[in-house]
Amino acid sequence: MTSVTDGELQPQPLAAGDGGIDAAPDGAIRRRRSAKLIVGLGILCVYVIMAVLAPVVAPYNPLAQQIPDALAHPSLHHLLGTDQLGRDVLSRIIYGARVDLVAATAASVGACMVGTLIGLLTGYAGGWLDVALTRVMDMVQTIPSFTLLLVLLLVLGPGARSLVIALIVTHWVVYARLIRGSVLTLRSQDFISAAWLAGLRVPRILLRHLLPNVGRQAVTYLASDIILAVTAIASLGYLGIGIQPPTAEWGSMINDGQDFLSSNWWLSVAPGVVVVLLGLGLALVSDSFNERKDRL
Amino acid sequence: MPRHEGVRWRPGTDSQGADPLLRVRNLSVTLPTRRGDIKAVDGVSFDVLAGSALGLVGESGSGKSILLRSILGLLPGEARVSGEIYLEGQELNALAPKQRAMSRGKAISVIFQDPMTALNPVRRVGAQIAEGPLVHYSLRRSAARARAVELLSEVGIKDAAEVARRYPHELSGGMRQRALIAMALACDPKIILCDEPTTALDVTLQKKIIELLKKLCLDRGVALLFVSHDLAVISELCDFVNVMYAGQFVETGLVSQVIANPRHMYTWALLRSLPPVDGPRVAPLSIGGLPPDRLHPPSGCRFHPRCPVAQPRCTALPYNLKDVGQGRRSACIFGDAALPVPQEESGVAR
Repeated sequence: MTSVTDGELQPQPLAAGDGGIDAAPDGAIRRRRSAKLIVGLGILCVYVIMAVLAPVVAPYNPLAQQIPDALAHPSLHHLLGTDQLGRDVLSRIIYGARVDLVAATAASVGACMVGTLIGLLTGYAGGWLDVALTRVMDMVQTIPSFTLLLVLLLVLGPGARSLVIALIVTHWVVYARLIRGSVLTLRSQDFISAAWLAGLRVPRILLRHLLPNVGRQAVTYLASDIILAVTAIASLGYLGIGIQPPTAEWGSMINDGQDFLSSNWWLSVAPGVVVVLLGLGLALVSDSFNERKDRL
Repeated sequence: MPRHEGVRWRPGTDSQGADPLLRVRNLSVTLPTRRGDIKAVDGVSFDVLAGSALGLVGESGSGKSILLRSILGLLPGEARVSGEIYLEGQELNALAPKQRAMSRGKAISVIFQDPMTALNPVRRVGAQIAEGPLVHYSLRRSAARARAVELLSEVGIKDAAEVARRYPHELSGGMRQRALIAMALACDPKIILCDEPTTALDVTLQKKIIELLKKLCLDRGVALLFVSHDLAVISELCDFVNVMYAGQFVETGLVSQVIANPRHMYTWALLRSLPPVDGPRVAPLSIGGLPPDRLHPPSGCRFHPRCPVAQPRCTALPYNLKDVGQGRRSACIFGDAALPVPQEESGVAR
């Protein structure tokens, strides 16, 4: 912190001329941007390491119960204490990364692919296909997404796979609308007409000519969409209809710890902070993506 | 084809007596608008012979671009097209969509007006040029790439191999237009349709591009249908010219004859609006009045409200593009002989 304040109070000596005056804030902005990206990527790295190396990093088996040790306070043996069944909270959080991070990524990437394809198709083809699929998008968006998620989970049953499918069903619409809008404006451009006039087939026009033009938007949105997916998964776990116990999952851990808030508050707070930090890391990264896009 | 009789064609083409490459008969395009239907193209017929170059000249809104786009099938969905378009004797609208797609790109190709928007901004230039041969000749990727580089150097780009790896925004306007020409030639088309391809370029560059286009088309025997508002460009590039006004042809013929001796008052006024390059210095004259209202076109000859020598009967006589000799046609009542050019040319001046 201090170094930043120092920098602002004592601007570096400027070269003579207008360029120097302009260059200083520009440099500061750029430094702040790359700081954002570095911090965000650092946070994400920690989570990815947690997920990949969970068996190595975690001190205990996340499912091993030691009832006599239940509700232990933080100590050197159990850095974050134990829950009501005597399971090590830190190990459960570390293993939780495998569940939450992987499910959120799978759901967002799946929604991104489905939505982008549908957006390309409806935007380019137009006609009845566009009308029909746009109505489907309207329908999906009219229903509050959380309600739709709950209903889908009731139908599909609990579990990671149905969670991912349900999230894809509720999330693809935004991608499809985004891409469809861009394709509509691109479609009338000469280079797309030229591709059509060259006798190219529709799949080739969609994937080789339109996708490179719109893919960037989808990926930029993907970076912020993962946050929504993470919070949705944690919320559903908290409500007990997402990923089922005994699997270690942050949302259900928050729920489990709720009964012991007065004595063992860290049981709920620790996984909560973990979710929030992941959201922060993702937000920082997607933010700096957005700024980078503006600059190009 | 009486109007083409006695005209010597370019060497290397055997167009005489053969079917025209592109034959358009009675083509009309109607564009519905909120205030009513606009007949953007009103029953035009023309032929483009193999290896020849036909220019379509007219002011903005005369329907020349719509005409070109209707041949390509690029009109907005609400446009209504009637008439026949034959390519090598085959009616285009009668073809199955798949066959028509194969004719596109192989027999016909196109050069658009704006080199900025006619290239895909996020794909390398070489890949875009290679795509046509890749699809139509089922070449291997490397062979198609090599062909793209070859084409780029043929259109006068140095370091073609390096330029092929660049993105469109890394090219200058002239290079982009050259790349577009390379793309249009990539599948050895029989005819290239050009929609004012030089309008976005400055005059020196324009001249170079026109010369390049002319040379490439002569060498390969490619026919051209060239749409422009610029008679000077057309006179340099084309063999024939059709002058278009308010959706109709008002005069057709060999470029040199039309320019030397116009047979329609609109052509005359158009020529008079250009400053003469040689000869005595005369101030160019603008064409008085406004372009015609396309929703309610003037009766009779559509040019009569702006014509300096209009007669009372010009407001009533039906449109008739008649033969005026030497393979030329004109819709003007004075078209049979030299025009009664006004002495004091103030009639067309503001």
